[in-house]
Amino acid sequence: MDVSELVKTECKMPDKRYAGLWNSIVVDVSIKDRLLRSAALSLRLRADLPFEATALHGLTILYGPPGTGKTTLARGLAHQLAPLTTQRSARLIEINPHGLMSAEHGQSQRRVTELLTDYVPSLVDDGVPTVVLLDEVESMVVARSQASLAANPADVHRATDAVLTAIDSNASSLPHLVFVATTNFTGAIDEAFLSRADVAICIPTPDAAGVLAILKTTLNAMSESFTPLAKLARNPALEQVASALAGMDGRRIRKTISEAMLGRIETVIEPGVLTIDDLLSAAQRVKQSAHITQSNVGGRNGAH
Amino acid sequence: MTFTSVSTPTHTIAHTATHLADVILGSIADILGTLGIDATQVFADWDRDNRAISEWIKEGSLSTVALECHQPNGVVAPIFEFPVSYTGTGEGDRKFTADRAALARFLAKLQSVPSGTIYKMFCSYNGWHSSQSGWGPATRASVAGMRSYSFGTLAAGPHASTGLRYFTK
Amino acid sequence: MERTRLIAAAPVRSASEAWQVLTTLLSDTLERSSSIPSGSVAAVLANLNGLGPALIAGGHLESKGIVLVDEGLHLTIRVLTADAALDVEENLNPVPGGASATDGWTIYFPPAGPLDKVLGSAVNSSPHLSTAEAPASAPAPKSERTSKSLIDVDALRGLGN
Repeated sequence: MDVSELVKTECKMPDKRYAGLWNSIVVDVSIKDRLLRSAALSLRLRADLPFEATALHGLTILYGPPGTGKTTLARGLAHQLAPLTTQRSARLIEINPHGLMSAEHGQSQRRVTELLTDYVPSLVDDGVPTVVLLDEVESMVVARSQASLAANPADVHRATDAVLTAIDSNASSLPHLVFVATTNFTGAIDEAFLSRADVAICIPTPDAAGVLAILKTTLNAMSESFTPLAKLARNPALEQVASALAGMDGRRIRKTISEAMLGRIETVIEPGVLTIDDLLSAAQRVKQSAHITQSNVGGRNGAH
Repeated sequence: MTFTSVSTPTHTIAHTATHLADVILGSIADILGTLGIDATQVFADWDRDNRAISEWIKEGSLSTVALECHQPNGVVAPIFEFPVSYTGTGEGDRKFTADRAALARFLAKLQSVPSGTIYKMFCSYNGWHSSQSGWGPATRASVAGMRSYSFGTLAAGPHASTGLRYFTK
Repeated sequence: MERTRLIAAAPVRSASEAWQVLTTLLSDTLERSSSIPSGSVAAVLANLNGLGPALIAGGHLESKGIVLVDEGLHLTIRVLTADAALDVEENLNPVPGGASATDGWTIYFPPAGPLDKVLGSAVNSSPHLSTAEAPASAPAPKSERTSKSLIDVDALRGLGN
């Protein structure tokens, strides 16, 4: 596989396909502010000062449970950065880390090095501020201290080394590059990688207000096609549904709406006739299935 | 009809031809450079000549490439021959080799030629050969009475190899 | 950062084709820069048409390779032949650093044994070609280009409102 195939996305902002991503994620505004400011500050300081002065690697880690919007926020970050840059432009590059690590034996290190120190730098050669998204980064930077060589061939360890070397190299040579890594499993990530993060931001499951906001946002978005749903979004009883979904991640909360719609044939035919009772029933089903899923999965160590 | 299964060589005759054509022409350029003979035409005609030699090797028709040095006094010497030998089936394990180190040592021992010496290049064939642009009938100088030295195998591939013979007065 | 790229010649491809690949790699890298007109790199290297393939066919670019040097750019390109060519994993993507290349780029050719004299004559055709020993590393970019602000501070102030 050519390393160019490991780049899932390469897109310059502003791009209207990415315009709504940032606002679509409901989290405390302080979290979004911190993410955006850290990226802007990294670009500002690293352009003017040497690495020895800033100690900034241009690496941000977003961590938290699945479905909380980490990847979506990372994708939306470049669009948010664009109007803040002198060029009024920013770029998003998304890497497929699983493609890197599924290479034939002994090739992972070489591919990581070629991708991060040669191919990606060639893509950003124009100096446009760029966000490089390393989604589910635990597959790329396995915790070397915890993984045995039997479970993780030396090749995987060397791949982790290669990522660290690339981060160090790009920190000073490419000040316009910001890496954003997302993970559900910080315990599976190599400590040396974690220590290089300029900032690690937790994206938690939404609180009660957040759950309600997600329900309302989703219903309002769907009301574009099914107008009565806007009224359901304003229904005070929606708070009961939100309470029933406490502790769920944003993705599951959104899916509760469609789960509710499939509860009756009438709501499949006409989603606009959805009721609070439909949503409450769906909330119960979602919570039950979430409990079953978690108990079946057990503990994951995140190692490949 | 009897069908026999055969293992398919990893590399084709085209690979061998590409390899040997490059080594032969590259060696010719090096020889001319060593002797101080103007090789401008070799470079100008490189693509044409490389294509012709490669095609003839592919079809198995090329027997020898010869490089003659024509001195201002009419003497034709030295003469270099690159004979091509064909293995027929393409031995799968046989590698692509080029003994450039030995060639360099050989070149270091070449006798010089007078200023103004020019070169001529010839190909001889095993029977029929395809027509190639820029190449037509010609007559080679005789090597009768010349001292000869055989370099051995200069380069090889799975389907053919080439050597080098050096003739001097 | 010093980089090395490998190109496969015969038996994978002929010396002429390998020379074309090399020329294309250099052009694709350098002509990303607004300082280097499109087609200009190939025009310079056209002075070595025929000689370039001869260098490759003779194995003269195999161990040392040519070296492209410019501010922030140091690229060695080696062209491998015979069995070594079969094992090459080529990366023919433009090399990072080309977008900020200047018109002062230089390609350094290694010693070419019997072809030294003719190569020496050929490189005189352009100030971008040389047979001198290549610098070990790229010269640093000029100071006025290093501190280029990425963030618009006024736009940042808008975030605080």
